[in-house]
Amino acid sequence: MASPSIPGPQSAPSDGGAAPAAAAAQPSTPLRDLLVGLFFLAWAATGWLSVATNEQIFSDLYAGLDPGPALMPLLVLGAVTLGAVAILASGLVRLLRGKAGPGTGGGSPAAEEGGLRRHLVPLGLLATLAVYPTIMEAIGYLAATAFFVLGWILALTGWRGLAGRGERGLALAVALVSTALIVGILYLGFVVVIHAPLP
Amino acid sequence: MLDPFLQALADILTQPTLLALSLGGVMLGTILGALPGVSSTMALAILLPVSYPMSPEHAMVFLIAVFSASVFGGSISAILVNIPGTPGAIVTQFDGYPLARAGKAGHALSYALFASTIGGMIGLAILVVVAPIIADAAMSFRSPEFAMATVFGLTMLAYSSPGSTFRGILVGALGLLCGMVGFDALTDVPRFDFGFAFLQSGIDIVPLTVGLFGLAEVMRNLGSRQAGAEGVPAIGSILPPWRSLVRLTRPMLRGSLIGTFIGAIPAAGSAIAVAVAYAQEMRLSKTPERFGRGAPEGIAAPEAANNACVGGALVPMMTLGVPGDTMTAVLMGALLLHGLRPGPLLFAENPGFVGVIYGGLFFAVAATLACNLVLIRAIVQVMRTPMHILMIGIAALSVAGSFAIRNSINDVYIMLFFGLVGYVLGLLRLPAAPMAFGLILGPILEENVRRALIVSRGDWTVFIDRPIALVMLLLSLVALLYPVAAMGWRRLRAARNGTGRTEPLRQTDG
Repeated sequence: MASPSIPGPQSAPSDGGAAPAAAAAQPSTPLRDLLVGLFFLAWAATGWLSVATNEQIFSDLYAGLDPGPALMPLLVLGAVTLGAVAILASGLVRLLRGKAGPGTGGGSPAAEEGGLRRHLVPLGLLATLAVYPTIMEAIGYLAATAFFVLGWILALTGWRGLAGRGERGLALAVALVSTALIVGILYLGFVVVIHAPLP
Repeated sequence: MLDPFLQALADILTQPTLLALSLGGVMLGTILGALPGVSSTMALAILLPVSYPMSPEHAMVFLIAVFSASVFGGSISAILVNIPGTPGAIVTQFDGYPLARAGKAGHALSYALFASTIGGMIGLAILVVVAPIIADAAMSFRSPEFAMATVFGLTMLAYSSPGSTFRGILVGALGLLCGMVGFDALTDVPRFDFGFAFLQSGIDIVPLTVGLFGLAEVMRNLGSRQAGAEGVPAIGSILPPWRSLVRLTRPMLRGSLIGTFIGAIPAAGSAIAVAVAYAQEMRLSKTPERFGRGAPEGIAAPEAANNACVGGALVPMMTLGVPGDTMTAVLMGALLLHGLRPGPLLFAENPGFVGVIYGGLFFAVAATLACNLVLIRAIVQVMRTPMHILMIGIAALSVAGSFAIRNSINDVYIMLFFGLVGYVLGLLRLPAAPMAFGLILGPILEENVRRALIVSRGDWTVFIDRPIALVMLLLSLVALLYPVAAMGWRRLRAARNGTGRTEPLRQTDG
């Protein structure tokens, strides 16, 4: 369609965890192909391991009219494995070809995205969330949540950028008020309205 | 056809609980949609657990209100801070932001609001007329057709997601595998449980969607340190001159029609609909040079299209059980959670519930208009919340929400696992939506494949002997192979052009 050119968006939110459209339009680098292939292969390997150690699953494969509980897992695992191998192979071929020709090698995703440091905060959040349920069972939902929310808000506020006691005091007040708000809303929503038996 | 709709509408207006849920959904949807970093999908995913203990009717009225209002909400941040709150609002900022910079933010918001209302209503009207016809036609569906409709839906979602269709389908296959975890429905054989008792009851839709669309987005936002909407400009007067609104009637109508029909195509979706609507207005305009500098048509047409998409996208979801986009996939998950399977049988067996969806959407569209006319200034205040505070709040909500579904800590760990998976998917430039869709549709696909094979006594040709099933299978293959073929064709042409271009270059060099 001969549509008039539309200016590109400043920044597009990703929908459903997909990569931003602009980034997705770039061709995948060979190294990313390898990582994608390995990602799918890891899922397939985990799946095959479970199927292989499951004796019951094959007991009635085509024994009766029902093709049995193994049919779909085998089909889907087979498809994922084939797809993973295909992506790995194409990544390998492109990597080798890139090495042969000068200047066409794919940059590593870590380098192109500004190092591993940018994953520090997201993975740190995940790590604290992983221990949060245990703490929740030990000291109760309200205390654990307040601790978690306040700690993270303060950690993310960026103390170094704040000059003097006045700004820091204000930041602390904002953090305390927002923690109280968040904990209050969650408590009201889940404990008072839905009666979820949070510890 | 209209009786259940009117009945549902009367229920919403007369029952205080329903009225409160719908209004609450509209407010939450508008605010969440307006916040940069919170898409409609994320809004639905993090509120899905909240709707879980409600009755199916209450949950649907609430979620439809969140969905519909979040679509308009996305345009608020597009206009005020030049960041689309939702992907469908991407085009709205082209003309909305320049208008806001010129001190007419209130007018821009009103254009978007009235266009949203008209778009939403037209989308709904077409849904009400078209859905029963398609559902009727789909009454002849048996297991082979349902199985192929699932394959078709998965392929279409992978096709519409950014990145390669092939990889999208592989992500969908991972979702199918997740859907197989637990006891097999027909034989009670446990699968993929890895020896954990809590996996035998399967992976619930809620922790997976909350992880993939809630937590993973929070992690991504914190990683990129995207700026929040702190520099919100003053709004100015809200109501534009009446005449300027009247002049926008045609762009709104055109946008609504484009939005409904593109929204109804499973592979398209709102981002495509708004781009087409914008391009169409620009082409029809006598003064196309005004576009990008604050042309009201440039806001009205795409906003109408964006909201008309809601009705359009509900058509394939309700009639065939094939969601047109991620948002309707989450909505479909909500329906299944409440034991309602969308598809032609829903219309035959549960016309009252279909009416609830219509009535809920109608009221939500009207309430979005009313609430925003009155409260827009307050809503904009909420947008000033710093990004990181909001994200930590959503992380805490994700934990509480996934716990509340089955009162199980294990669901929290499943949610965290899929949060990590969603984050890794993003790093690998893989779409996450097909995974949720695979989990939702996996059991339906398996049940129908096996039932079809039982009926056909193990004969696989049952899937290509029946014409509708065959057409859906072929369309899926086309969607899968088209990008490969197109890329091959482009390479071939580039290679030819490349050799054609190097020769003259060499001549000048020599």
